[in-house]
Amino acid sequence: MAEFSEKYIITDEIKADEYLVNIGPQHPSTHGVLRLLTRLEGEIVHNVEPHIGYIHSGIEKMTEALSYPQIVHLTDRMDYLSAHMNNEAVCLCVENALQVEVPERVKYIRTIFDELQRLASHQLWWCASGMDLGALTAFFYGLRDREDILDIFEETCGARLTLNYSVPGGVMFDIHPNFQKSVKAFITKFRKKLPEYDKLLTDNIIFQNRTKGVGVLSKEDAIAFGVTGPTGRASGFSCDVRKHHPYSAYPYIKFDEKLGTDGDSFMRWKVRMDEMWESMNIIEQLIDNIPEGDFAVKMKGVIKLPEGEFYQRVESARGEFGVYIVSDGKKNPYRVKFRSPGFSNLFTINHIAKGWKIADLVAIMATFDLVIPDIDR
Amino acid sequence: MKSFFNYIAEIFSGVWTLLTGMKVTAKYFFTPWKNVTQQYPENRDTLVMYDRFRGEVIMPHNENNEHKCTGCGLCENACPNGSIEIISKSIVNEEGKKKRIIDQHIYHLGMCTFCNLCVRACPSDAIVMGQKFEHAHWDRSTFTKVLNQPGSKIMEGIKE
Amino acid sequence: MKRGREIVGIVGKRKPDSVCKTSQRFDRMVNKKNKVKGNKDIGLSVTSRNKEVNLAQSETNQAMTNEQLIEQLTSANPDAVVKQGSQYPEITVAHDKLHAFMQNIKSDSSLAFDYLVCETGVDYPEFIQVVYHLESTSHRHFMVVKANTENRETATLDTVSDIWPTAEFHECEIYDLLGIRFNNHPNLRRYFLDDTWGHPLRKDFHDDIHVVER
Repeated sequence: MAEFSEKYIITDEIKADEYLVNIGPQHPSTHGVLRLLTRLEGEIVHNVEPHIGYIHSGIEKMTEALSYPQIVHLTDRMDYLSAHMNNEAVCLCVENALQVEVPERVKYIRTIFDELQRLASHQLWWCASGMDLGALTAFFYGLRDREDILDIFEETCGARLTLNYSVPGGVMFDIHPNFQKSVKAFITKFRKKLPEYDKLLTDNIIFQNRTKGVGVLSKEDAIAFGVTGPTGRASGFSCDVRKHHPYSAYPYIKFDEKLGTDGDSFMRWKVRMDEMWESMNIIEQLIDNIPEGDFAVKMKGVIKLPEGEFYQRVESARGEFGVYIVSDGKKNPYRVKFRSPGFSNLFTINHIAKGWKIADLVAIMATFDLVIPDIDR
Repeated sequence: MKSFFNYIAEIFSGVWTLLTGMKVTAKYFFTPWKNVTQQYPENRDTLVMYDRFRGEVIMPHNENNEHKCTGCGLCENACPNGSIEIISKSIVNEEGKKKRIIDQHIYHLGMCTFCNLCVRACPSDAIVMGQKFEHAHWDRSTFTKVLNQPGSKIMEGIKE
Repeated sequence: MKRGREIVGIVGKRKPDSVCKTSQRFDRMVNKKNKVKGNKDIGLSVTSRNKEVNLAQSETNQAMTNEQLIEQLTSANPDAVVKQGSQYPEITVAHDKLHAFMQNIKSDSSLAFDYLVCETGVDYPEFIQVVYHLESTSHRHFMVVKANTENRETATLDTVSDIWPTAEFHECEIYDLLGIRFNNHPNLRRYFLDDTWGHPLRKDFHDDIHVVER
């Protein structure tokens, strides 16, 4: 093992009234193995230093030895709650590089899956952050409704979490004959369930007092720190990749980008709750109009990208997810970089949690919706 | 004085929001048949997984103990984790020609990520995804499986 | 060249930002009118970016094409190398001029690259390249800037964390995985790995214990 090095522990000198507290690596509110080194004075947070890398899996290094279809299945191990968006990003990047036009049917299926995945992710975020803030009931209600989406996934692609449904050139299977029926049934059911979420937590006075005005992130800071996704949009930073750089079937549909104004924890909460409604609208626009056709184009047995660099951005449930592939013309990439939204989002925490109490830090963490494998990669 | 009334009003509205939340939970408390919990270990006999469920890689054999695997090794190449190993042997067939056939199709379940790439790569549909998902075991060595049954042959009419 | 700037200037007057602000103000007014009433509150207080705003934005998109963008950048920095035929406008800057160049494209109002999307490094046989993906949130143009280090052994580059704060963390990651030291970086530490490790994303990295090669 390495020498015990001082710089990992203390970066500044501690003042007389201050003390250091480790939150994590094993702490329920960090949603994984994340260690927050907090400098406190009493209950007031003076400094938060996130320490990551406890579950670094070296995916970027692993991809250098794999072929392009094999890379896809690794990406759903990064941000497991937006697995399909990650798969799609790699597939789109490869398709753009090869100038392959996928059938319309594939675009529709991918977009529906994106939005279902976003719903599932936001449901899990809703219940987990409710639990962070002390509302245990929320956890069971969110997981109960998420189960329906996971069943839809399992019916069509055989897996619940690590889907690996997109492949370069299309999707792995055609949709299940029951797919449209079960998605529609889910949406009618969930439209009735979502107001319950508001009754349980959003309107709750204790919850509002804990989140309103807490952890304000201004629009300028959101842009400067590269905070994307619902977190950035709550601050008024219009960063929806679906809107600004549309991919798959997003150019065909009408939807609103939900923008907040205040940038506090409550606004982050609201933007996500509103995105759930919007996701359902998107799915309803698409689900009846899936065109007939092939579900994949025939690709070569060994996919080789032309020499060059390719960057593809998609909107995952947490923000902007980017894939940067440097190819040297071989069947393995020369270098792959995954721009994960969680990495940029996490490091704003020191900026916005300063001066708040330690319970507010938990509220801020809850509304940031962090997934640690996404940060560590 | 006004602030005092606001304070009282806030208390009442706070209690009201709590009661609305309680109403939701109470609804489910008194209608437990609406809950969706499955009694998992007890319902094993009736539990049916979806037909596309990816539980493990299996090689179906017919009643004459014949499979479709030619031992081409495409699944071994497609696997990202190296969980498939093909060991082939060469035999002399009736016409006196040398021929390579599969000896052992070794599958390491412990390394498998159930990505379905091997099933996609297989040209003769010899391997499929199975429905079994209860893989937990005391001994790690049981995760290494030989998919072709002992004494099995290749089905007639499968192209090399 | 001059013409390009003129066009940008005209469009700059009706930037989406101004639209945004009015819509925010409108929303606040709406909020005041409909005070806290269950669901409706949520629907109204969050700004819906409607189609008109997006149309205005797509117009600004077209205000500066990629060719104009490159033209403006190369006229200001004649040394910079522009790569043709790539996916996005791509420009390679000398390592000693990197910081000034970045400062310029952030502060220049017609460029205004205020959002650092992604920063990463690529290891090549002679040098290590740092790649910056930049976007302007007001003009919505996208660009790739590259900078090469002098050599691989003592790879150093100027930090851009004073221009975009998010770069501070991306640079720590690059330092960890590729071993580029960033000058003037406020807190350069290894995020993922121990001190005993090398820099795994370098091509000459070998580890017999932790890495299994097929």
